[in-house]
Amino acid sequence: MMSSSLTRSVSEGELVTASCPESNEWRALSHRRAWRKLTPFAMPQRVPPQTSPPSIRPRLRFGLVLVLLVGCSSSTDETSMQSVSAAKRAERRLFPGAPPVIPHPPLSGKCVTCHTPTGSARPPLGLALANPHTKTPGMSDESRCKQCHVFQTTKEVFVASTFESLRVDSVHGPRAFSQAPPTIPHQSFMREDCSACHTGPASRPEIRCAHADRSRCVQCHVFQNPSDSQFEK
Amino acid sequence: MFSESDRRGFLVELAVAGSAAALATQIGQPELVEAAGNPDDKSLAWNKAPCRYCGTGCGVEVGTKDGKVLAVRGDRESPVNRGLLCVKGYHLPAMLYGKDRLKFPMKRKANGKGFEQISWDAALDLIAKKFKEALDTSGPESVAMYGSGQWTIFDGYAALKWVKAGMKSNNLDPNARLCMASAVMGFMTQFQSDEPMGCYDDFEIGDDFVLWGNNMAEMHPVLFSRILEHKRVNRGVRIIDLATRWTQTSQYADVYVQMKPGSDLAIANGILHLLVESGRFDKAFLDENVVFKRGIEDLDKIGFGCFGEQAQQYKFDDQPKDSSFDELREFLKDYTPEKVCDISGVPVEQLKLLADLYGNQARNTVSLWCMGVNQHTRGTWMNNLITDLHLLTGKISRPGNNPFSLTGQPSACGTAREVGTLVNRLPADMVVTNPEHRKKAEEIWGLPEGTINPKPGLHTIDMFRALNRGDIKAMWIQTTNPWVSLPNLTRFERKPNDGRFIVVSDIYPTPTTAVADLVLPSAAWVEREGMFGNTERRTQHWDKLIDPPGEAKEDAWQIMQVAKRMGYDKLFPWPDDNWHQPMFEEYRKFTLGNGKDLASYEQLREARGLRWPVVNGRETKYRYAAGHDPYVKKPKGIHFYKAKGFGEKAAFWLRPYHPPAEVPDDEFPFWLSTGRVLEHWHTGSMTRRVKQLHQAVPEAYVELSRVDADKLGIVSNQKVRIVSRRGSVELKAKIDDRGQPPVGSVFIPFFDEHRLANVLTLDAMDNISKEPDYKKCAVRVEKV
Repeated sequence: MMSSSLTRSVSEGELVTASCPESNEWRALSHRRAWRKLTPFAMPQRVPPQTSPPSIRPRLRFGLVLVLLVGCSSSTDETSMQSVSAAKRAERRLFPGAPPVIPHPPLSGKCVTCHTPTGSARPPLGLALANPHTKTPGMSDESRCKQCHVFQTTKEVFVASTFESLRVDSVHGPRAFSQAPPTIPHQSFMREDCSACHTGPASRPEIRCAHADRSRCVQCHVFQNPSDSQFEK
Repeated sequence: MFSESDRRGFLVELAVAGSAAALATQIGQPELVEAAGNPDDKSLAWNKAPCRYCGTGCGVEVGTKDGKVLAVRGDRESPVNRGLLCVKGYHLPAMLYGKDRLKFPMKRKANGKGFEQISWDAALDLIAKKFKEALDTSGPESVAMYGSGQWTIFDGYAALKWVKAGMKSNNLDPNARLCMASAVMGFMTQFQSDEPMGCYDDFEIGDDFVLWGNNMAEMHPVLFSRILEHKRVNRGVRIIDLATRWTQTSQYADVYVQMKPGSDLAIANGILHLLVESGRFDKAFLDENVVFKRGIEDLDKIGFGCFGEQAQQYKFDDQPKDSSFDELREFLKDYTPEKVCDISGVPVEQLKLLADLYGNQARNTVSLWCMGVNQHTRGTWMNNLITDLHLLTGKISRPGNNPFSLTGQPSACGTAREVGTLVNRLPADMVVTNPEHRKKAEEIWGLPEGTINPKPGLHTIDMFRALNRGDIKAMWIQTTNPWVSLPNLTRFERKPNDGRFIVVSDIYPTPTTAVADLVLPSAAWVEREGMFGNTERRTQHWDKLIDPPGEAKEDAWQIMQVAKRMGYDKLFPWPDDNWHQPMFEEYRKFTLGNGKDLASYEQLREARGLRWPVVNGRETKYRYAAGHDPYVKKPKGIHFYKAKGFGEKAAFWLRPYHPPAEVPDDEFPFWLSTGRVLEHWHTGSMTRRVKQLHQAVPEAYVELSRVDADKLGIVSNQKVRIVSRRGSVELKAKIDDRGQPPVGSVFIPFFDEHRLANVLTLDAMDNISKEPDYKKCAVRVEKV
């Protein structure tokens, strides 16, 4: 049980709470109070300054991954984990494909210090998601993350909304037959680096790649719906 | 070329074929890897539209299903944004679905309290009756329409015809008066033709980007990201941020120049002084292309439009006279670096640096500005001075070298400026005061000669002052929210049943619908067909993609229905089910042959927008430039062919420094500036209904400097009261937040209808454009 919650929290790319004692807003926003008791590195102190955050790319941090993935094999756990993960994911974006809001409070330093191309472990905060835009044309470490990703400072709404987002229940694109490699169900633009979302302990478990050591993903997985803006009229 | 279904089928085959597909879909082959946004989207229909919000005009692809907008994504085919959007753009779908969307016409109850639903027929009859009554009893000066830079071209054109050709009034002004008017008058006074000569291509060609009071990172984020990427790839590129407070933009600037509010006039003159004194000007260019002019410069004669008699009506009229380069040299003697440093607080070294970059012919210079320069008591002058810098150095109408004004609204250019929904304008740079222009409009509209009223109407501020006095009896407000956005708001308080009739068309309830007598539900964005024109002269068309909610109707339809009920059917002779194309084709006649040529309807439907003048199907990147602009017949160089009144040359204006209308004193010791934030657009009536945006910035706040906060004993998030001579507002203090004003200065964003920044602001105006100054007034800070 403990390990599955552990994996869950980690899998959502959450910067795990219980640091930043002055930040009450963050506490209010956090849905993961239980996690504070469970995490081995949840101490009420600020992030120590680090020049290069430790990468959590599987091959580099294999030990860490091994620890974090223990308990992940049970299929019941996996299902519940997936639904929690999907719900969290939906909560943080307007629709599948919209930029997620930032679920943690402002921290000192640049976003890309923690959100490196491989993601990073930042005890005592937790794991920072990898930056999936490092290979996007026109974007770089110098791009302004806050152009699209914004902090949330309240849970109130101004006026309720009737907008209902599309639900995304499938975790991969269609396959030609049961053993065929799944096709890629999303746009490549802004998500050119497959490993950012599909590998590492901060990735969502349901889309985590079981064979991340094979480096050329598009050898077997292909984009499913290449509508190159030929609009349906 | 594959058809869409061929291509998809082909790719599915490839997918099955396995390794062959792998070869074909290497990342980096965009035509093959461009896939859908999410797993479900085979069921979504994707269509193009420009973004609803700012004047950048980003292309979005809109995903619809079952009559709803469910997703958007950046349009990679759009040359404006190349697939990228900002946080507002990515959250566009939710903008349409606030729970309180207006769906039915609502009329104020007879007792003045609350509204009741009425039918469209009853609503339209009532408007026609009220406007006719006003016309019959008090004449064309007693009716008014207040429109918007968010109007589509269709809406603006319908309004123009109804007001100017139907009611024979010129009381038609857009909210762009509060936003772009100074840029309009800047271009008009210098080139006798509105809108920039440059375009967004400059963002990849410029070397030095000089931002004159412009927080581009938050206000034009996608364009700013283009500059940042250009700077990353080409290391010599610099951003120079001239500002009155440290903003998100300053973080990315190479040089941060902090100036005192309003001192930009002195700085620009100081740079001109340094350039002229050191001989760094392009004499050949000046001789060939420039005439010198100056106007009335006496502060007492000009005033600020808000004190004494001018507080009722501001009618100042500039009187241009000829000047010369020698006179300029003499005029600039007043602006030595030391004196300018005294006025502006900008160190002499920084002034020299600015002169060096404008004077350096080896580097390309782009000047960018928006509200800091336009919302300015001498905004037209400031527009003139920035352009003067480019004229003096010949850095104009050349790739990478241009003065480029940024626009705040999606169609401030396309509708307000090009259609001409301003008190003195007709389409395509024409004015009602010119008999030939009136004649041309009357010909196109099939009207008897003398129909169009030659007397300009009341500009926005005077229009609302006249409404307040009761001189305007009937007013229709569309697509804008003046009871949040007007300066010195308490002046314009309104009680129902005061003998005036106010109609408001909008998509959500706002403080403006709250004071209306009749509220009409409008169709928004892709709920109707539309066209916007963006900052770089790009006209963009979109199709209607979904039905509007309830009985909501597009603004142009509302106007045409009322016009027909008033007996102006001949102005709108098109069938009810097919009027967009014929209306556009009629409007297009104004633009053809005079350098403002719009593309054909068919071409615009297909293209990701085209930059006018579009001649023989080809757009124009750089106006007035040989090799780019088809109207320039010279083999090379520049030809300001629109400036007939100046011998087809540009006018270089001598414009002095004047102090702001209200400056801090002992009683009100702080400067107040107002503006926007990235997450909210203007008065927030749309963006605040988007959860993610509201939760990012739920309320207005006041930015204070750390020094002032410590001195007053105020901590971040503490509630404080900001008081001006006109009103007060309570909000939370923010210290060392996203923007950091210097000592003695505070900033408040104006989007929050519950914490109105505009009860504090002063209705001081630019002398030529009559655009109010929202950036400079005096306040004090009190602990609550």
